[in-house]
Amino acid sequence: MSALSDGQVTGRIRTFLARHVRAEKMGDEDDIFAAGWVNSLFAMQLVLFLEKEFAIAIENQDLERANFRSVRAMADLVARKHAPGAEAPRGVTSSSGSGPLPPG
Amino acid sequence: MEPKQHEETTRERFRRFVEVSIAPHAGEWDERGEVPATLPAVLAEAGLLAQAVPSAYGGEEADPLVYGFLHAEIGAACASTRALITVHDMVAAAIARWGEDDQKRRWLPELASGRGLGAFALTEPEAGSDARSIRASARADGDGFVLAGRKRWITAGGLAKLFLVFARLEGKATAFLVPAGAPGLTVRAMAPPLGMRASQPVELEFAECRVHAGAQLGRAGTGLSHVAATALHLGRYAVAWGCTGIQRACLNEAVRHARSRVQFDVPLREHQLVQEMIAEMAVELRAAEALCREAARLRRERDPEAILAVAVAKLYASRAAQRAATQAIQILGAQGCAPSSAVQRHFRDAKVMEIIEGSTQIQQLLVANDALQRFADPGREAP
Repeated sequence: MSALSDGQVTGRIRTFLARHVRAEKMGDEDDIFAAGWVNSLFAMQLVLFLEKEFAIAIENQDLERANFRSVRAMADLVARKHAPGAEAPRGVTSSSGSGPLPPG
Repeated sequence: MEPKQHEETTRERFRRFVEVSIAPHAGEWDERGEVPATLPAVLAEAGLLAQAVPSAYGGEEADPLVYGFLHAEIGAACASTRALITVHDMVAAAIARWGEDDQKRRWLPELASGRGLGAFALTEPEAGSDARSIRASARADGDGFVLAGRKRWITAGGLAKLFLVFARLEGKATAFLVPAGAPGLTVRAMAPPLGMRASQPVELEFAECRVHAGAQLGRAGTGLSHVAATALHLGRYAVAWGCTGIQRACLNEAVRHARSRVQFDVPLREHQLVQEMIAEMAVELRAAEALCREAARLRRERDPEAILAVAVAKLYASRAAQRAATQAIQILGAQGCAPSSAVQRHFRDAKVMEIIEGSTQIQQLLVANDALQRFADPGREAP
């Protein structure tokens, strides 16, 4: 997964957002929350998407709005998670306390 | 053992437990407006309070489909017991997902063992569907927090040892783990509601209620968007499967009666207007189960589409359960209206299923918003 280029990561995020965000045109730097484009389910959908699509674990300390506000911000978060020395991704059935029941 | 065989074997185990320990008493518990104080221990002994707890913390870490089967089986017998398990699991799921390691070690083994029953405290006198309007507050004080405010309709609160409470910390919605014995917390029983009469809702009053610093679950400001959302997602999933249990129970009662009851010299089963109702019940049961199974698959795959699939399943199954209970009473006639009839209890319970963990109207808004985004636009429809 770390072999993905920045362009591939932003492309996948854009594809996901296109299904969930009410925006005619959205730039990579546009703030999706400030624009009121998302509904109340979106925060958890976004966590699940990023974790599954990029094999990363979103933790409490990541839940800064700055990490999710735009395509660029999310791509940067993914890059940090994939960086050498970053925490290993959580497995679906690992014993890390994140079994299959909790939705993210 | 093959996964499918394991799922069916586990469902059979749930069914046997329900037949012996729950179904014979459900009517009496409903009438009394409470379950026995020993019920959590009975459920824990059968492992039914450990389903949402990761195995690393002594839990069963149930597969989503197996978890659904549990709620279908218990839901067919006693919606109050199912609700009790659900809110307990919602607390466990929130801790498992957003808790720090010390919070997981502190609470999850206790929840899994049944030594502590969990309850989900979001609703307030002025905040129901509009969860963002919660007024309960928390302020940092020394090495902990002080909570103030009121909560209402807190299911299983009369039995709970741990409340997952949502309050505003510096204006930001935040989750807190509050033990039932916390100083300044008063728990008052509420009268049994229309349905799920034995679910023992309570009112909570926090008057300078002091908790320690480790009580905060998740970051400030993520209480609704992530912590409550995680819990409610599981709650809706459990309710959806529980509704299929109500549908199945109503269909069983209706068919039993239609076979044995003779009117106009023939069994009811031969009356085509009765057949129409039976057909509708059967089709809607299959449809609800299909939606629940789809939601199970997506949850298993940790697919973001699971969030909407669960809302769809809850929306459809809760309304279908209401229709099934209505039709079952119609087929049973006066017998279905008798206090001893199970279908009148299912009728009352099904109505409550349309309200809890997000009302029908809230699910409709969520589904409509998604549909307005997804359809009539090439490339967006397919998940």
